[in-house]
Amino acid sequence: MLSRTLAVALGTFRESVRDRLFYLVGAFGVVLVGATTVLSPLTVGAQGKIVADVGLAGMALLGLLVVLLVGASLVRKEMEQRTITTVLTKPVGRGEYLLGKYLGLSLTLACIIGLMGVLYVVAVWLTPAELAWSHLVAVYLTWLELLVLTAGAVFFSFVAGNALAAGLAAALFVIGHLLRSLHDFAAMSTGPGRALAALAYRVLPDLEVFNVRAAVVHGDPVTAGQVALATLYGVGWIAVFLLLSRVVFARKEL
Amino acid sequence: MGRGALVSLAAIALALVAGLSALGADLRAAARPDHADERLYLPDGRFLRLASLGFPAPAADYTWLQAVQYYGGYRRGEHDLRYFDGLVEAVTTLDPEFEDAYVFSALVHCLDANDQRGAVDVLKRGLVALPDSWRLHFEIGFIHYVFTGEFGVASRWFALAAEQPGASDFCRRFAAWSAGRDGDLLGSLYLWENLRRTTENPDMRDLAGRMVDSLRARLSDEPGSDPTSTPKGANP
Repeated sequence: MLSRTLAVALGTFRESVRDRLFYLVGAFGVVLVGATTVLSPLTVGAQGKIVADVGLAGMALLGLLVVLLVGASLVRKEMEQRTITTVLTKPVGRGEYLLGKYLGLSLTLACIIGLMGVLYVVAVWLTPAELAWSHLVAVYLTWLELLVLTAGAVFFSFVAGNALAAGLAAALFVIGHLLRSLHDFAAMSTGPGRALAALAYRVLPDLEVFNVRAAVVHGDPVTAGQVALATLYGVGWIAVFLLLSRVVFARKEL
Repeated sequence: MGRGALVSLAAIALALVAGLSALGADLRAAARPDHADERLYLPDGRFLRLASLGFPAPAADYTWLQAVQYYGGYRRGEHDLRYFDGLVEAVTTLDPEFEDAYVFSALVHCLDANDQRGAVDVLKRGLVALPDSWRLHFEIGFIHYVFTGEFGVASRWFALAAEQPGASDFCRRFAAWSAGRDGDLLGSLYLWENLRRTTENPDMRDLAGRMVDSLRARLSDEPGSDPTSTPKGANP
């Protein structure tokens, strides 16, 4: 089972290389160079902070672009083009196929975020900002957040068209970062709005769990326990979305 | 489509870009007189924080660049600084640990608005978010030292700055110097001796040693003074 899943994963990774997704790393480099050279004279002493902020945010946003463009059409594209049948007629189960596709895109994201991470470290190292290990923790948690969103996008791609699935994944990103405010909103409001907000707070992933970007830039501590719990939380949500996808996929006629 | 047609289309596109660029410049120039008032519509920092969708720090950076540009406009005589505080407040609500924003804003209060109390208030607001910041403590002392001439108060803030993590030796030097200027020779002596004993910088140790000798000489000339007693500014 594992070898078949890995074969699908490697195929997905090769496809992303052919789709020139890694050009995004070049775009990230341009963003960083821009933040370092163009903005530096305007920052009034905050150069290191701004380069670090822009670097970490750029990484997350460009990664989100990959999730929205690729993750939301990861399986559906192959279903529409009927190429999926050539794989599933071989001894590859739907679950193996789904997991393989997901792992392939996760590997792509790992490589993209990893390369961006290297550029980020170099850029921050060239500024007066202090570079600490916690910056790498922020990079890791950004990757984990993108994996949760990818799993969500894959699930949405089974229940909606490509564009709508990308829209739903974007909405998941937005709501995932506003969830704590939604909780406050639920506490203040009455009637159905309160129940709806409270429900959303319970049943959607809180993406702020993975957001330590501002904290690491200011040198605030990020504990190993915090990272471990965030990892557990992320893996849990990935499992939820993939299991739901598997259920819907099982009922799909190809 | 023939080569000639393609070249024509490309030329039309280029001409359009040139025309739109000129039109954009005209539109920007027409909007220029009201440019500064755009800040009037800056939303509250708490709303901006929500709207930043998990990226409050880059949003703070962007608003910070706006604040710096706005200050530049003031220096060029385009407007007064009426919206500067709003911009800085938005920056520090988005990113409460943006130390440079507090420091720069305080300096603008002192130098451009002649509002030392406002400057100290901004720095104290920063201390709520960054209670361990030696720099914010130091800047408050600096304002009391340079702008209001309250050397005793300045000395206590400098001494507090020296107690914070990562503080440089010069905080203690400023504390000792300010205590001396306040007329508190014993306090100054205590702080210089402390600096001489604990600094790792040989030049600083040498300077502190000379100051200790000088203060001892001055104190021994003053009737009734005891250089070994506990000074009033020793523990601010």
